[in-house]
Amino acid sequence: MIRSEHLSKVFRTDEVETTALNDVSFEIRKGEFVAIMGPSGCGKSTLLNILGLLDNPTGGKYFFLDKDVSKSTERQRANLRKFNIGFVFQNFNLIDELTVFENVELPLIYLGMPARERRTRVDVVLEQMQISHRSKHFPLQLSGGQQQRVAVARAVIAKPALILADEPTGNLDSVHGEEVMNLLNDLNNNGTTIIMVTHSQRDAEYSQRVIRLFDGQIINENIKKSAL
Amino acid sequence: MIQNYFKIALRRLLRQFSYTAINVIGLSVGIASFLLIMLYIQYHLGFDKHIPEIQSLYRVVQIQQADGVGEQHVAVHMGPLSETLVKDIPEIIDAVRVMSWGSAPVQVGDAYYSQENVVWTDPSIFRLFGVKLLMGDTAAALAEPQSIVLSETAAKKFFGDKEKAIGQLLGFNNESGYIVTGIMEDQPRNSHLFIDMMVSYQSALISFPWLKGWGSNSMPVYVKLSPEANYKAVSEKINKLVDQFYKGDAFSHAPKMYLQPNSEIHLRSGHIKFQINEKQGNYRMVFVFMIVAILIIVIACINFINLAIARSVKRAKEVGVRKVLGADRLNLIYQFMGESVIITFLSLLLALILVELSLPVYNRLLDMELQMQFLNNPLFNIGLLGLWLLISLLSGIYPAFFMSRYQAVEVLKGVKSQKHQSGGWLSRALVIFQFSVAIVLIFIVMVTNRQINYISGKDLGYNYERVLGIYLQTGNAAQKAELLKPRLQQITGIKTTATASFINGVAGNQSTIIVDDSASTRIMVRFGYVDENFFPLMEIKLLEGRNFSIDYPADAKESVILNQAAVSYLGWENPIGMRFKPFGMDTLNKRTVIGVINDYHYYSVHSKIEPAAYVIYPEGFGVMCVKYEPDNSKDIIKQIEAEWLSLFPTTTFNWVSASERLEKQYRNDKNTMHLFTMFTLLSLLISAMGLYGLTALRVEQRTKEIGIRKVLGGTVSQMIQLIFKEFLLLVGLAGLIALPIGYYISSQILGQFAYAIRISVLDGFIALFSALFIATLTIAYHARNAAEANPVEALKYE
Repeated sequence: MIRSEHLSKVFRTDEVETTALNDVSFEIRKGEFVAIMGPSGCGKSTLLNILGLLDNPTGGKYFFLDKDVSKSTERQRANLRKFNIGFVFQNFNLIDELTVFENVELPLIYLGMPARERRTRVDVVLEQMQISHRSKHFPLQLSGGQQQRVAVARAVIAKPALILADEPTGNLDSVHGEEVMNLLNDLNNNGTTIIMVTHSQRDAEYSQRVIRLFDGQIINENIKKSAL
Repeated sequence: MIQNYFKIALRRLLRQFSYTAINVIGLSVGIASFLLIMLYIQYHLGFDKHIPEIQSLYRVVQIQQADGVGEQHVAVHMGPLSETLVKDIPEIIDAVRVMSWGSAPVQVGDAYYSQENVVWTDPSIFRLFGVKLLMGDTAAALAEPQSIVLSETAAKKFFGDKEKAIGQLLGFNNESGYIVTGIMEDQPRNSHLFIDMMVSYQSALISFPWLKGWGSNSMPVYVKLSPEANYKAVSEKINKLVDQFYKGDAFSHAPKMYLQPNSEIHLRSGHIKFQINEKQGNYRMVFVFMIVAILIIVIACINFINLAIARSVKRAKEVGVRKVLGADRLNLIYQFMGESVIITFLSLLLALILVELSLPVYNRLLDMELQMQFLNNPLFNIGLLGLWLLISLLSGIYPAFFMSRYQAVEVLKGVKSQKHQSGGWLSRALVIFQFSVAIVLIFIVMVTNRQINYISGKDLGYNYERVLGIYLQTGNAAQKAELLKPRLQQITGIKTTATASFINGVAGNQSTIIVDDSASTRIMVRFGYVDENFFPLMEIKLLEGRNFSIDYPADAKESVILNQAAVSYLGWENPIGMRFKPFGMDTLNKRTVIGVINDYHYYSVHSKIEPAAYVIYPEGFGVMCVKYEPDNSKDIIKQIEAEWLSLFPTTTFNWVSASERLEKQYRNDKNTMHLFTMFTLLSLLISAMGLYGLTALRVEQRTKEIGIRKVLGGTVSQMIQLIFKEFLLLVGLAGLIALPIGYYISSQILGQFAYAIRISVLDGFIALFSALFIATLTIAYHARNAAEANPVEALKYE
């Protein structure tokens, strides 16, 4: 599903050049749950942004659904993104002015889905995430765990093939963190590919494979026994 | 999707209430100011629009070279001119004379009225000015002597009902036998020629036979040109024609004639003396106010833009999230434009309410009757719609493009790069622009205010306080004065009385007089007909010689008193004893100069004091002047009225107060001044509101910086300085730009006055420092709060 060949990303300012990714190659198959780990500043988030088509690499090739997208335009990436990828962020990134229902509905609006269909689909997903009783509330009225469940609901609403999660439990306590990990796990069991950036060994336990990054390079790939 | 935009926009507006309030109030005050000014401009531009075929209607103007006065444009002409023009110039297909004396006494049965807006005119007025008759026949109504056409209002006033008026007899100008031959529609108020009563010109020819000759310029003449005619070419033809009349007259210069398009009369006649021009306007002021209106709207839009950009950092997250979820740039531009459309719409509604509420005060301030008419003012409605879209676009487009440019990845990473910070060059430039406008406006207000005070307080050369003028009206004025005088002197509180052509001493007309010297020197003077009591009553100083006196019976026939302007034009070192030939005729008694009076402003300070000659001429007396003791004018006027009516029961009692008349002359200036001050204050308010909002947001963005500085040892006062420096520098820069512009515009305005103050450095200082003061007040609140905040809190939030 995803293949990267010698990916690199260099950030340049007037005087400084920083290499965030250096010759990163790997492949992720459909239905996998992969964790990307490493210390702060190792390039995890940069990699996730490229995988999520939010950014282009400076070198190498990136194949998404067997298509080279490393030189796509913003518009092409936006189109691929909205049909195929869902995002979950550490700080939830819900829109404060929209209710739970409206936040979850938003991706469907950008897909141009009719209102009636949207309503049914959102209701179903909110039910699945056990948050439907909060559908008329605003994000700031919810606990962190509830907010992240809303964010997950929003990520899956368009039925994407891939979910990218950036430290999904980073702002949650252990109980709520576990809830969210279970949700992701369930999604993966139902066939959704998941790539997750994390610091937490516990969260990484949910994945089938861990890619470790250090200073922009892959230092090892562990495939857990349970996945074999 | 639109529903979603709308929803989020409304929620955001409600949630950030103070921001919305600043935005909506600022914008609505701006729009309301704009609309008020536009109503004023529409009023002025709407003058004479009711006249059909106005594009082929022109007023004849002549340029005279008047000795002692210089070049002057006048819109009054000789009686036979209009007939001659139609007869001799084929392009002129019609013409009308309109002679006005302002008010005239009218007698209906036993009732007496003083009727305003009376003219003597030709039947062609129906054709040229589109005057419609409700009753009567336009061909016949003004054809015969002693025919009168009344407006519906005048007819109701005299006869109770227009039906009853037609065919009725009435007395006019103390002559009986006039007959009402027509009732016309009430004329629109926004007409430079406002008429309530028309008397046939044939009647004037009988009452004033001299009108048949070419000797005096007494009436405005309007001509209608054939469609293919070029009015400038026709002007040349008129000139040639008039030259012929003056051929062989060694003394008189032939005037140069030109045609003035009727559509320009209301706004472009400031240079013309002797004209009928009701509620005359000035195109310069209309232009200035149009600029002010646009500036105010722009200032309000700038607030909107600046606040939106300053807030954009806060909204970056939303932009990022939306982009991640699949929004493209166009989606976001639509969304932000949508918000601006909503805010503008709310502001527009509020502005309409503000306009409706402020119109009564506004009208009182301007002495006008403006109103918002949604039903029969399509221009206004289209204008509103256009304004809505324009402001939405103007204020929404930049923030929309600015914010939709954000990269999702940067925003979500939490990178607040410098380019996302507000306070970029654009915000600064906009603040500088706003304050430049404010400083220019304050500058102009300072200067014009001083000018108005100067005019009001200027020593006019006479004392107009507690002076009444009682109109002696037609008939034997001098005799009336003789009868009235002893009666008035009986009234306690009346100090002295005098008789004169008018309360300002002059008769209103100009005449040429000829010096009895070998060169036959000529001088154009304003004639004043006064008795020996007028100068003492008005406390007008005698500089040389003596006043008229009953001890010199010959004064009435042989003496003349000049003003200083006349003497200096003639260049006489010893004017006393010099002699004039009245009208250049040797048969009349020569007049000898017996005194010279101080130049006093018999007209407004707008015009220069022209040469004037005063003689005793009882036939020219028009008012009896009364100087009374302080504080009992109402009582005195009642007593005078009683005396008047007991002496002359068949007339009406009319009077004028010298100080009120003067006040009226400057009312226009004062109204304009009020308007200008009001809109300057409003533009300041809008700018200050914008600065208030902008400071709040800037301070919020700098919370971390201030926190760090304080941790490192910065004091509260240093922090306050830090914030002030940023904004006061901008206001200072605005001053540099604004002061020269303010100076230029102010000097243009002062140029309209013959007597004007000088612009001083102080005006500029005051303008600059008021702007700095207002900016300081505006910034102070937020600056203090931010500087005093606990640095731990500040750093925690980051």
